[in-house]
Order: sequence, then structure tokens, then C-alpha cells
Amino acid sequence: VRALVADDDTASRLLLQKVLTKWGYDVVMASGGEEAWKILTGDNAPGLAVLDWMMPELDGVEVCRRVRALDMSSPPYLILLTSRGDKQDIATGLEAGAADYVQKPFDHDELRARLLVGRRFAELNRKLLDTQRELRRQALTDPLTHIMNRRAILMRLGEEMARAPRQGLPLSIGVLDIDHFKSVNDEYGHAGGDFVLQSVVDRALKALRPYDALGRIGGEEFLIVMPGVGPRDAEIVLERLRKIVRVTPMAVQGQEVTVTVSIGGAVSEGESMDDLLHRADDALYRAKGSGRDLVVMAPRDAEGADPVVETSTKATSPGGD
Amino acid sequence: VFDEKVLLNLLEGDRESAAEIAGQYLDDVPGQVTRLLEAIECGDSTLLRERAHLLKGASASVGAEAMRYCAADLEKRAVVGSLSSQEKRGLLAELEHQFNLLMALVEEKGGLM
Repeated sequence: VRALVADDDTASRLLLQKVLTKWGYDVVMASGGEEAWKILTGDNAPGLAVLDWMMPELDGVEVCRRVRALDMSSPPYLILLTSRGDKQDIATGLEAGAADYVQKPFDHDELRARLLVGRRFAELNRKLLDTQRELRRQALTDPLTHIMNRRAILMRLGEEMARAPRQGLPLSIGVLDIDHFKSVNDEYGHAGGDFVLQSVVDRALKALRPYDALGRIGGEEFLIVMPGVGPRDAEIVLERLRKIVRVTPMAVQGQEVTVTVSIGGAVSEGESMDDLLHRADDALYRAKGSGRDLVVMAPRDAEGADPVVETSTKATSPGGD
Repeated sequence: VFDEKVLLNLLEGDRESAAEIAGQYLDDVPGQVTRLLEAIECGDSTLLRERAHLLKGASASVGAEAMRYCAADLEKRAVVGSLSSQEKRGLLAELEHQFNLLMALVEEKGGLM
């Protein structure tokens, strides 16, 4: 545990350094309040601090007050030092933000015990923060595929939609659906279906750039958010994604299975999130209707509602019978 | 004058570290006392209070008990307010006396520890 010792008296500082080091603390020293404040608010800040009450410039109580005013998520445990018999009001120090106080001359057992309390507090606080972080992660992650869940990817889309016009950059999305997923489930069971979902995600991540985002928004439906990608490149990226899934068969329960996906893409035109998603959904619907294993881009405003721009590599035979 | 148990208890019998800290205290004490004497002479009670407090803290930490009480007394007087010239003389004499006692002990033992 890192511990800060702040005292303007060199001998007291040296004494605390020696004692705390003996007890296994990693000691950082400050000779005044300003220096202590810098250390407590700097990188790798100690979780525990012993501050002399009276120091020139910035005293221990003021350091406590300032640290408290910061309202940090993991505040350091602050112990004030007073001399026995001092008239200073202990309540003032505690109200200012100190967690505890000790008196000079130090009593071995008491100092050790009070530091232990601080250490325990710092550890509890760290565990609490870890738990909080883990719960937040779980709340935003799809447990099966470990990518963003619906909530998280829609949040990301909202952020990117707010950012794009600010930075004057385009933004595109794609809604991806696995073709005939129901029959995969029927044939290979849910375990097989889950494996296919994971495998599609693995392949999709390979086709995307690090700053693209992929999230699972439904059973076999995924949303791709591509910041900085405009009409020229959106279909290129989505095509790459469609192809990589198609050309890499999956070993589902010992059998090689080729899975395909249909994707509806849309380039943001500054509309609402619902409208943008709706256009991409419409495009996906057309991709499904046109034979699947296709990328279909939603028409852009200038092009009107029709015709649908198809980017399939499949040849469409004219006429037929 | 000096209670070596204060440092030794805290340092769990580590005499070497205790000697180092006592040495640090001895390095600091003449300067602290000199500045305190100056503060008494010029009659600045804020300065007196600060400097007395520093000496009190240092003396308390290492177990220089007599010096600690002397400094605590000075700090208390400073809080009360200005000093008469007779009070000043008395305090100066007491502080110098305590300093001399400490130094005599150091000379006799060849250090505090």
C-alpha cells in the first residue's frame, strides 16, 4: 500500500518513513501541504496519507478540505497529526475530510492499528469500485459473444451521431442478420446456433477497423457503427464483412457449415437515430427479399426512395422464365 | 531531558534507525531554537506560535520531553498575545537552558542514542 507522509519537520517525517516502511507501506514524502496536495491528486496517488496538522502555506486540515471537495471516486484515507495537548478541535479536522487523527509522540500499537483501519478502508473501497466496474461491463456486454449488447451499441451510435456533425465527418451503419439461422438451430441445436453466432462475430471483427463498433441487437441480428465512413466506403466495408463470413466455413459439431449474412447499410444524413436504423432495416429487408447473402444500401436522399442500390456480386439474370 | 524509549518502542528496538532520527533532530534543533529566539525577540506572536509548534512537534516525535514542554509553553503564550519584556527574558532563558541541557546530554553520551 502506498502511503504519503507530509510533515514540515524533518525528524518526524524521517521517523514516520522508517516506521511505515517497517510495516510494509510504500512511503512517499512531502515537506509541506502544497507538495502533499500535488501527490494526492497526481498519478499513482497513495490510498493513505498521514498529514501534519500545522504546516506552512497549506496545512493538513486545508489539504483534507480540498481533497474532500474533489469528491473522488476513491478518495485517500487521510489521517491528521496533532500533538498531544493541542487545543485544536479534532471535530474541525474530521469535518474538513480527515478520516482519523493520531497524536505525537506516537504510540506504537495505536499508530499501527489506525493505519491498518485506513488500509482496510482503502481495500474495501477498491473492491467496491472493481465490483461497480464489473457490473457496468456486464450491463453493456452480450454474455454469449462478448461484444456490446443492444443497450451499449445503441449508446455508442448515439454518441457517434452527436460527434459526426461536430467533426464534419460522415457516419455509416449496417444491420446484419444471419441467413436461415432458424434452420441452423433446428439442425444443430442451440449449442450449434450459439457457436455460429460466436463464429460470425469472430469473422466480422476481422473485417472491421478498430474504431468500428459491433453489437448484438437481437437474436441473430447485429449492428455495425462505422464512424468516418461515408457513401463511398460504407458498402465496401460491409461487402468485405459479408464475404469473409461466406468464405470461411465453420466447424459446427464436426461438420463444415457455410453460413451467409444479409446486411442493410445506411449513411447518416443527420436524421434521428430511429430513422437511421429504420432505413438500414428497410435495406436489410430488401437484401433478404432479393435472395440473401447480400449487402443493400439504403437509398440516399438525393436518389429518392427508388431504385434500391444493390451491391451484390451475384449476376442477376435478365428476364428469366 | 530525553526519553529514548519513545523512538525505540516505535521502531521496535531498531537502535540504528533511532540513532539516525535522533541525529536528524539534533541537526535541526539549533536552527529551530535560533529562529524561535528571534521570534521571541521581535515579538511577532504568529511567528512565535509557528516556530514553537514546529519545535514542539519535532521534540515530541523523538522523545525530547523537556524541550517539548518548553516549546508547548511558548506556543501557548504566543496564542494568548503579546509578551512583556520580563516575560520575554524569562522565556528566552528557559529555552536556552533547555537547549543547553540537551546539548550537555549529547556531549556526555556522544549522541542522543
